[in-house]
Amino acid sequence: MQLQRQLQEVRERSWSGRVRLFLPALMCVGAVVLLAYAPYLISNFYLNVLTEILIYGLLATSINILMGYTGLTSLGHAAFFGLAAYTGAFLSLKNHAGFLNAFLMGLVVATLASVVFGAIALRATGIYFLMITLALNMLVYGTAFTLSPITGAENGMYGVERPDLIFQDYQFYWFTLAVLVISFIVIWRLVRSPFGLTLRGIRESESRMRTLGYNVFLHKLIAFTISGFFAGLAGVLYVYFRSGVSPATVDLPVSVEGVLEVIIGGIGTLFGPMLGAAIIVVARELVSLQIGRWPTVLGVVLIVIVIFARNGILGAYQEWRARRRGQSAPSTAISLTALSASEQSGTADGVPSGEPVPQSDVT
Amino acid sequence: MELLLTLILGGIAYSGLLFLVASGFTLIFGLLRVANLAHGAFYLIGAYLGYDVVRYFGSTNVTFWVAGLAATLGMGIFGVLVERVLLRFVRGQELLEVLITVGLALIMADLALVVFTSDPITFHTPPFLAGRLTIGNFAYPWDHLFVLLMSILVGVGLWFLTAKTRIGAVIRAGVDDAEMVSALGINIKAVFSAVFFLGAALAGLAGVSGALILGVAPGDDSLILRLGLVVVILGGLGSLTGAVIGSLIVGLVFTLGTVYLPELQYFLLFAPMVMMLAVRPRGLFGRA
Repeated sequence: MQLQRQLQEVRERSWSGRVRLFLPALMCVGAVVLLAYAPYLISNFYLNVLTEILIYGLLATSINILMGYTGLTSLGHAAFFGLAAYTGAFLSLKNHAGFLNAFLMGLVVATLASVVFGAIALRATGIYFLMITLALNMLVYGTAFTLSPITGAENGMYGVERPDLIFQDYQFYWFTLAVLVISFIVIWRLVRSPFGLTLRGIRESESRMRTLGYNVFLHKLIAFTISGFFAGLAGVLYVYFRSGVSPATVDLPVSVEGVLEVIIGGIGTLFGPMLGAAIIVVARELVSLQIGRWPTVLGVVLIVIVIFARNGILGAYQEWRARRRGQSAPSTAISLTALSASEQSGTADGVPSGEPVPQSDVT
Repeated sequence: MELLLTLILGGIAYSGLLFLVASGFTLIFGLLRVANLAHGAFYLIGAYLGYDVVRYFGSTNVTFWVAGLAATLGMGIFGVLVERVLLRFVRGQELLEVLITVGLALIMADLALVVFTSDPITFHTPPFLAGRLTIGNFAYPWDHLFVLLMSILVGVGLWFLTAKTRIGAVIRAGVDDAEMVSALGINIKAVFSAVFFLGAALAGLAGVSGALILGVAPGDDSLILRLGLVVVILGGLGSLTGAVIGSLIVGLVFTLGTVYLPELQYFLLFAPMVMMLAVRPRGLFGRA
């Protein structure tokens, strides 16, 4: 600790150190400016691909709140994504509700559903948790398929119109980008807050946190609800992006893609899931344009990544950077293997990888 | 009233089918702790395999048995291949195993769409199962009865195998402590493969049974996985008794829902799941 503080002071005194401290922030601002400038640089087609990346990136980021920072792997987030999308579409098509109403109600429904689903699924841990979220997701899918008066069954519901202010593709892109930037700031603050550290403590050792007097279930439920909220936010954006929904929006591949994007980017990294989403969305566009058979490609990619590249891109980068600096703590990204192992025992103490829980924040 | 009774009888046949599916799933999970989410895809391919055999050799009593055998053995062997080739990389890491089976499920369902197209298929009922059993006002199709009997046979057989035989004792010991079992000189890897064979074979058998009473269509893999998951979550993962009870609940709720509340038939399955998980998170007979 002492040494770290001294290092910090030295860095703050030197110019290069100061730049290095602010470099991540500068890079973020630069990236946002570049993204905001995109409509002037690329055609509408690519702009829509970019919008799609942002939306699916938000969904993946919401999954990462659970997977990366709480140690829970949900295979059911398409449920919240889809519920929000269906609510938005239903209200604006059948009830002729305004944009703001439909948008907010979509969020409310997704958030409420995540409280209920979370309360059910979080009674179990590890693999059971994953299977319950999956089962709940599949029941929502089934209901979307059969509840024809409300969901339009197989064909879904189309014809949702954007309000004038965000009618054009580039306007909607800016809107999505703004929503995304705000979401990221909120999520960034959240994972760095004492609450976020408590979640990571739960990820590392549930039993220890319980012994320290934390209400583990409540913390997990709040994390699940926040995660569901952001999945829902991605869902309502989606409905206005695609001007409608169909059962495919709540289907298993959406959940699987989300989890895969988190793994590809790096579990427990802030921007990793976004990067993963960029790769998956571009790959999906290319595959559907060229050869079709996206599910097969998705399955193959999933298997190959799980077997050969478990730590993802940002995870591998952070590991490389840490090694270059000669630090012992590998990275903020946690490995899939560790997630798997810690889930298996549920109460395992001291899983070797990942960030150690800072003692000062725990007491 | 008569409609209700007929529905309940149909629901019980459906429960039998679900038990065939769930027992294989729960067997693999019980010993290997692998949640095989490709189980629904195994079911689908098994169904198509059986259908192809019957289509190729014509529909007779003999070809029906051959089809059943081909689907059962075929999926069993395929299951062993999956276990030996793919899951070998991630042995013991539950999350990774699940993700690999999810990937496999996507691939299998998509390729089935290429090979067998998206048209639903009606299975030719073999002559000895044509018609129905009539008692008074009630009629029960022979093929439904056949599937029900088959599931009872499989249930009793599995119970006998796990509870009364030496192999079963080894399997049960392997569930509790795989390391100790292998230290006793038993080839635990062979036992693992054997269990995977059995579980996958049951999916294949369920596939043919399902094809017989319901036909086959794309998306059946996901339907079966959906219902199968609810069955094992209700009954408790790894428990045969749980699979029986879970199948009965899901089979009846789903069949009655199809008629009385078709729009909400999936929604109806939430209720038993929520109630069960609120009281017993591990399911009815699940172990901690």
